[in-house]
Amino acid sequence: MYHHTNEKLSTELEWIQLAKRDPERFAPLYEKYHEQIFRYIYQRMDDKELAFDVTSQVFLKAMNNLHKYEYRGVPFGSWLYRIAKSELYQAFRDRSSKRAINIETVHLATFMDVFEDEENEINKKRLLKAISELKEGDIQLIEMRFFEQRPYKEMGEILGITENNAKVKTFRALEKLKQLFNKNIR
Amino acid sequence: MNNRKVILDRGSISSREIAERQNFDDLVKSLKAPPNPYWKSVWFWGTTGVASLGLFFLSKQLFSENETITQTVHEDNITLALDGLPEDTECIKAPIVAVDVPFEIFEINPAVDNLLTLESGSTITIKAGAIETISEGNVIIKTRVFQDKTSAFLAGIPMDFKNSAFESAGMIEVRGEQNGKPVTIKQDLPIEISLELYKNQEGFDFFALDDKTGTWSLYPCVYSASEENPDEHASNSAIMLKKQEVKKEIKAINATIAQKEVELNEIVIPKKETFYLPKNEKYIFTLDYDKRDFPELAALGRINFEAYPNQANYENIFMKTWSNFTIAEVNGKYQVTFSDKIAKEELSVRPIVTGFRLEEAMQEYNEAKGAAEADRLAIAHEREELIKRRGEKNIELQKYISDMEEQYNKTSLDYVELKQEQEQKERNKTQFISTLVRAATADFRTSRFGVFNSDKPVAYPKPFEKDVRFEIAGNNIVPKAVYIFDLGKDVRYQFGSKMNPMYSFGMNSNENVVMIILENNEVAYAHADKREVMQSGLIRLNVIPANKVTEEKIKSILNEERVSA
Repeated sequence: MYHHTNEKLSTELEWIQLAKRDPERFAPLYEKYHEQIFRYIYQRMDDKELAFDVTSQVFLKAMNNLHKYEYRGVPFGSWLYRIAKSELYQAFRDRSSKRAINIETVHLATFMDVFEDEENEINKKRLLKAISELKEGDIQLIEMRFFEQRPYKEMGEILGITENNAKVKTFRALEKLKQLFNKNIR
Repeated sequence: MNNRKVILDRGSISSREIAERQNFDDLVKSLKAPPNPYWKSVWFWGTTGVASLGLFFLSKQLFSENETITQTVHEDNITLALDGLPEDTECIKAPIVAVDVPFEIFEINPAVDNLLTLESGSTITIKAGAIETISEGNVIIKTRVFQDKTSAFLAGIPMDFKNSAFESAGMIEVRGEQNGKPVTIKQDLPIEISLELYKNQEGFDFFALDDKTGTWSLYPCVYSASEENPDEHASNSAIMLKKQEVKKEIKAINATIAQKEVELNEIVIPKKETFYLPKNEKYIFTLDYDKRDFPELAALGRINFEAYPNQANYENIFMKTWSNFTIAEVNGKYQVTFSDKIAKEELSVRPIVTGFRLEEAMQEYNEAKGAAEADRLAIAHEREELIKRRGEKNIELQKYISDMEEQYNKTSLDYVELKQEQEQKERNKTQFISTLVRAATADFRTSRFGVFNSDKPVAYPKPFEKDVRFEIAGNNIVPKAVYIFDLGKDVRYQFGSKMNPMYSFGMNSNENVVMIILENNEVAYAHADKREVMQSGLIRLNVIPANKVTEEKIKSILNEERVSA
């Protein structure tokens, strides 16, 4: 889980302090966050092997820069997510990999509910087209909220904005998606 | 967009497969070896050591008339952060990595006129087409306003000007970017910035920072009198007051719009599933399940089941007659497993009510949906009204800004005619206006993004005649850079740069705070009195652990808690 009790947070802080002195003590943090970070990256990539490579890069970078990490009241994971985001875009630039948006049919149904429209093949295509036309910043919000089901608090921590700001921005992203969906009538 | 791929229903990857790919040992092997402390390295005792000795003897000779300036390196010295020297770093670099000053971010459509009202009350007017964009689409405008020593320090803004340090009355940083890349402003369509200052003293000039060199140069602006100082420029002040009122109103409207958007986002339109209503007739079927196993379903009365859409095996399942089925509940969803001797198929389903319960449920659903939609419509209407009102206020604000410009043009026309050289004209204009009116707002136009500052240069203090030692918990430290915050003159001096090396260290006879950034972002500080330091030759510092270093903490040390944006 991304959010923790105070007790778990303080355990995590102890791990971080130990890892700052001895990189081998980073292991519990690696084990705890490896799957989350991999899934975050793979959600945005098409190439599984490359996603594993980028995940390794994220942890390597985290270990190399751990001395710079300072606890600021949010879980260590949010720091890792920020590194992951940066490494992901670096991978897109370096390796000509395409940015992927992975969607499941069940997510499309959610949008149809919100847009109060029928679930059918035509609307499905319209929605996929609208999603592909969204700007990167908006797609990130839609992805986190609707595809990854993240709470606004966590979104805020990953994006470095307040929870309320995450809500407002997500609302605006959803409005834009609706506009694009309605534009794509044919 | 071309470089984006939308994938529908990609197969999931199991946690087990991910776990199998963990390889922590490889990761540890790939790690860079941690560097040795510099003073322990061969290089230090080799080339650099010899060079240092040479420099030591040279400086001894050069400064033989004064007391010799030496720095002793002890084995028990605390290692200090090596960066922080302006000449060694990029121009703007937060001295404490974890405590930078965040930007206020605006996403604008560059094709239309934009008026941005910042948290501080300052405004930025960007005319349609003023931004030289990279591609079509919106542009991000990032800005931060520095209204105290703490924020300028934490952001890493260089505050030295020639051989002085700046006392600031207000500073703004504005950046523009599109798709993560910086954009520029068209020369013929400068953006207009109205910077709210936090001081009303005379004698402040206006400067712009050269991002590459970290040096400041004079920049033209119009200072407007504040409400606390109604003077001979009363008409301008009256416009100013109105302008400030409108700005406040716009700020309040912006906050209410954001609140309405949160409320809209939080309205949940009821789903048919919640009321056990059918959604798609073609996926409905009956199952003769054992009600004793599922009392929660039995409580719904007579029910059917509806398969969730887009399950590939749906047609196959219903073309065949199965000898057995089981139902399982997983996380509130129901999974039906059909089986016979040869095959097994699974289908995700949900219960739906039938008969009179269907009518009741439909009525409940319609009522709930109607109420939610009514709420949504009402809030959306309020939001639209607020947006409309904000537009009207922006027009009003624009009018006041134009009035102020007109006022300024009248007062400065004769003066402008006297000057031929553009550079000289702009420099003198700034000085002229700063002495003419009392500063409360600095209005200026610019065709470049960057940092702009209303400042008064304050001379560096005279160096102490004797060396000053720095001590933390009984250990001597030899800092590479030391900040002195003079709370009386309201300036930050920085020692350890080319212009002001450590041997020129000194302070004024005011209340001073000495601050040093240690390795790992710890901060050492001390309140220091010039006379005591001269007598003892020692400054004892307290250390704030890295996890306790916050903007609030630095503000409390610098006695700036009262100052807020």
